[in-house]
Amino acid sequence: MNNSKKAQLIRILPAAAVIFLIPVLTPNMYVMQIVNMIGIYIILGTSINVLTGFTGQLSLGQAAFFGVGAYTTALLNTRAGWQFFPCLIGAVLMTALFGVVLAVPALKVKGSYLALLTMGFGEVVRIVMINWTPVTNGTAGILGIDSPVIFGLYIDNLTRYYFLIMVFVILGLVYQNVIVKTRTGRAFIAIREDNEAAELTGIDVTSYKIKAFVLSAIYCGVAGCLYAMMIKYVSPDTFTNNISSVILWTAIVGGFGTVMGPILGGVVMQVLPEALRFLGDWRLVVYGGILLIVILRFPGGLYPYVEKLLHLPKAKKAGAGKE
Amino acid sequence: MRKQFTAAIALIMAAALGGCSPSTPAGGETSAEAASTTAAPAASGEQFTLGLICPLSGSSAVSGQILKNATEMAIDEINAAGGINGEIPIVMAEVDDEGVPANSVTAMQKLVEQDKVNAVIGSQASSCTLANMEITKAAKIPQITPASSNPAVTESGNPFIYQMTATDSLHMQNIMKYMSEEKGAKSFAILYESSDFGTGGFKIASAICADYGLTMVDSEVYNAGDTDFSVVLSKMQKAEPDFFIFWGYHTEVAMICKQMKQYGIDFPAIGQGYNSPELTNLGGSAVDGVMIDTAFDAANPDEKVQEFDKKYTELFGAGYDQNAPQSYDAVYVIKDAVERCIKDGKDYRNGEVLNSYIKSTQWDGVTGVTTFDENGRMNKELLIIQIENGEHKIIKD
Amino acid sequence: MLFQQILNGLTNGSLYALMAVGVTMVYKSLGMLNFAHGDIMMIGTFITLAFVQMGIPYYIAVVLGILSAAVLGFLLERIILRKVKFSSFVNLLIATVGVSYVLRNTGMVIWGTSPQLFPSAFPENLIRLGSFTITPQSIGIIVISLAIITGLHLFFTRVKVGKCMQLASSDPEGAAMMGVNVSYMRFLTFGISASLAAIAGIMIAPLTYARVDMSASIGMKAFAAAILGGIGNLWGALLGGVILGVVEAVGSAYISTAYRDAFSFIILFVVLFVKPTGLLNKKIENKL
Repeated sequence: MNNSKKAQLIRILPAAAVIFLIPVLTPNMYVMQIVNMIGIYIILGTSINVLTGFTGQLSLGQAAFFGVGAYTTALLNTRAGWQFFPCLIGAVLMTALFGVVLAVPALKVKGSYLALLTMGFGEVVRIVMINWTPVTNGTAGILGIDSPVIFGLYIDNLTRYYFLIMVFVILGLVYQNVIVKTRTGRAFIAIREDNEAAELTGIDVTSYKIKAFVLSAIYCGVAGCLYAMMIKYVSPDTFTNNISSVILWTAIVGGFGTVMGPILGGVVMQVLPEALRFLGDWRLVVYGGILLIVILRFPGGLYPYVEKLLHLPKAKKAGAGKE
Repeated sequence: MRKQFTAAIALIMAAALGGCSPSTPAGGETSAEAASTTAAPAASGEQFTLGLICPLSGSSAVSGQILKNATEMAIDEINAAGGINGEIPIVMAEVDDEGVPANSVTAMQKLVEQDKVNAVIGSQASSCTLANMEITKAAKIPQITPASSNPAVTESGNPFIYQMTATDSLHMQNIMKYMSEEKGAKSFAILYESSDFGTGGFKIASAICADYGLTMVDSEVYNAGDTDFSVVLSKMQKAEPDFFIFWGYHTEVAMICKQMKQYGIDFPAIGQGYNSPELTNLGGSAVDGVMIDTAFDAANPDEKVQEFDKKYTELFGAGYDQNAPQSYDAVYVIKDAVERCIKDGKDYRNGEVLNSYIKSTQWDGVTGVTTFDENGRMNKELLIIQIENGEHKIIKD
Repeated sequence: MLFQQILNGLTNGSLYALMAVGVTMVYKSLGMLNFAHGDIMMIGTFITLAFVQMGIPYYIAVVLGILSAAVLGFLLERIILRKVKFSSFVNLLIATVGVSYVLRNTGMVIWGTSPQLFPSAFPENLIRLGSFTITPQSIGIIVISLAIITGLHLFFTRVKVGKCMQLASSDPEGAAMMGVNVSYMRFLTFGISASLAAIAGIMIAPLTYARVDMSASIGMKAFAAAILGGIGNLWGALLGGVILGVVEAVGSAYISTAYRDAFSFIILFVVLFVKPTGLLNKKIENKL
C-alpha cells in the first residue's frame, strides 16, 4: 500500500511539475493562448470520448453544446452580472437540458442516421443563435464578458487563466477515469460493443444513453463557460459544424476510448494549424490532409502508438509474462 | 491506469511545449519573409512593425486578400521613399484569422506577443474585430479596422480601436437624407441579410427613419447563401413603398435584382455593402439603376483616386472593394501619426502616445479627409453612386 | 401564393432528390453516408465551369465535368474508403468528413471564394401560367431530375449490370459467389453517385452561382432527404427531396425566411422520432 502510494507520488510529481512549469517556460502570451485552447479542447475531446469513444454514440453536433455553454455564460454574466461559479452552474444545467433534448430523438437511431441527426441539431442551434436576436444579439454576438473573480482573485491574464483551465482539465480527466471503472462506465462500454446484448443482460440502455449524452453535454458546457470567459466574446460563427468535426477529430486523432486520447488529440489539433501557418492559403488543405492520413494510418488514434513507444520495456515484460 | 494517467499528463504537457516552441521560430520566419518582400530592414535596426490581421484562408479569403494587397501597396510606397519620416522602414507582420473569431484571438496574440507590432490593421469580419480588439486594448496597441463596419466595434468604449470604414449608421443617415430630401420619398421597405451587418442596418433604419420623415412599411430578412427571393420580394411589393433599401452583399443583391427584373418588380433601390465590381459581373443588366452608398468609388475623378485605381489594378489585376482604399489610407494614417509623434519628440513606440496621435488624425487620403470622433469612428462625407449600363456614376458627392 | 411556393419548392426538392439518390446508392454499398458527396458536386460544377471558361462548348464541358466528378468518386473509393474498410465505422465516417474538408479548402484555394456566374442551358425569361411564374431552368431541373431517377430505377431493375450492382451492394458475398465482380460494381456505384452530384451542381449553379460553399447546405439537405425518405430506396429519395423542398419554401413564406434551413432538420427529427427507418424504408427491405 505504502509502496504503491510512493510509486503514485513518483508519477504525479513530474506531472505536477510539468503543469507548473508550462507557464514559466512559455515564451509569451501567444503560446499561452494556444496552451489554453489546448486545455479547452482536451475537455471537448473528453466530452466526445465519453459519448462516442465509450458509449459508441456518434455525434457531429458537439459544437452546439459548446455554444450553449458559452452563450449561457455570456448571457448570465453580461445581463445578470453573475460571477464565474454561478455562470458555470448555469452553463452546466443548460447544457444538461440540451443533452436530454438531443438524447430523446437520438435514442431511436444509430450510425449514419445519428451522425446526421446530431449534425442537424448543431445546425438548428446555430441558426437559432443567429436569428433569436433579442436574446443572442444575432451574428454580432455578445461582447463585454468579465474576467472571472474566484475567492477574491482576479483571473485577468492568460497565465492565471491557465491554472483555472487546468483545474477543470484534471477534474474532467479524473472523472472520466473514474466513471469508466464504475457500473456506469461498464454499461457504456457494453452498449458500445453490442446494444442488443447489453439490453439482454439487463442494462437499462435508454437511461444510460441519456446519461452519456448529458455527461458529454456537461463537459462541453464547462468548456464553453471557460471559453466565453477567456475570449470575452461569443458569436455564432465560433460554433459551426466545422468545430464539431474538429472536436470529433480531437478524440479520434488522440485515440477513441482511451482515457489519455483527448490530451494528445487536443495538443495535435491545436498546435498543427499554428505550426502550418507558413503554408499560407494551402494551410487548411494540408491540415485536413494530415488528419486524413492520421485516421487512415492510425485507425486507433495516436495514443496507443505513443504509449508503445514510451512503455516499450514494460509492454515487452507484460507480453513475456503472458507467454 | 492511474500511473498511465499521470505519466501521460506529463508527457502530453511536455509535448505541448515541444510542439509550441518550434512554431515560434517558424512564425518568426514567416513575418521575416513577409518583411523581406516589403522592405529591407534598416541597418540601424530601427523599424516600425505594422501588424495585419485578416482572413487569408477559409471562406472570406478573397476579402482578406484585398486588405493585404492594399496594405502592402501602401507600405511599399512608404518604404520606397525611405520609410516613415524618410528613415524608419515599415515591416509588415501578417496573420491569417480565417474569419473565425476564436482563431483571430490566437492570431492577434501572435502579432502582439511574438511579432511585437507597434500598430495593427484589421480585421475584416466585425465578429473577429470584436473578439480580437480586447487583446490590443490590454496591450495598449492602436488598432485600425478598415473593414468592420458594425457600430458595436467603437461603441464598446475601447480607446485603442479605430473604425476606418463608414459605420452603418453613417451610411443609413446619408441614404435617408438623400432619398427624403432629394427624391421626396415618404416610405421604404428594407431587405437585409441576417448577419450582424444586415441586422445592424435594419436596427439603425428603424431607429432613425422618423428623423427623416420616412416610414418603414415592410422589413424582410434573408440568410447569406439564399437563392430564392420570390417570397420576400412579393411581400415588399405588396407593401407599396417609395423605395427599397438593401443591406447585404453583392452575391445576394445581384440575385435579388435579377429576380426583381424577372418578376417585373420595379422600385428604386439603394443600400450599402454590395459595392463590388462583382455586382455587375453577376447581375448583368439587372443591376442597372441600383444605387449604392459608399465612401469610395473609382468613378470619382479625383486625382488621388484615379492614381490609386490605376496602381492597384496594375499591381494586382483583380477588382477590389472600398476596403482596399481604406486599408491603404489606414497605413498612411499610422505613418502620419508616427511622424507627428517624432516631430513632437515623443516616443511612438509607446502605444498610448501613438494612440493619442492617431486620435487627432486629419489625413487627406484617397478616401477623402479622415478624422476620428471621440469613439474612434471615422467621420467622412459619403458618396452615392448609381449603376448605369454596368458603369458606376456618382449621383451625389 | 401557396401554389407558387410549392412550385418553387419542387425545383429545389427535385435537386435534393437527385443528390439524395447518389447518397442512397453509396449508403447501400458502404453502409454509411458519404459526407463528401456535396463537395464532389462542387468540384464537378467548378471543373465544368473551368472548361466553359477555356472556350470548350457548353455541352462538351458538361460531359467532361460529369466525367471528372465520376473519376473523383472512383478515386475516393480506391484511395480513401477502401483503406478504412476494415477500420471502425466512426473512422470511415470521419474520413469522408475529412475528405470533404480537404476538397472544400482545395476548391477555395483554386477557385477563390467569390461566387461565379454559371452558364445555363435554358433561356432566362419567365414563363407565366396565370398568376404563377416559373423559370425554364426550374422546369428543366424538375424534368431532368425525374427522368434521371426513373432511368436509374429501370437500370437497377431491368438491366443486368444494374441488377448486379444492386446485388453487390446488398449482399456482397452472395454476389461474389454468383460470379459478380463486386469490387468493380462498387467502383461503378461510386462513379454513378458522383456523376449525379455533378449533374445536380451544374443544374443549380445557374440559379445560385457556382460557389465553393454550395456543398455545405445542399449536401446536408441531400443527406436529410435520403434519410427522410428511407435510405436505399430511389423513390424514398425522391419523396424525401420533394418534402424537404416544399417544406422549406412554404415554411419560409409563412413562418420565417431566416429559419429556412432549420425547417428541414426539424422535419427530419420528427420523422426519425416517429419512424426511425425513414418514410419508405420498410417496404423496400422486404422487396429485396
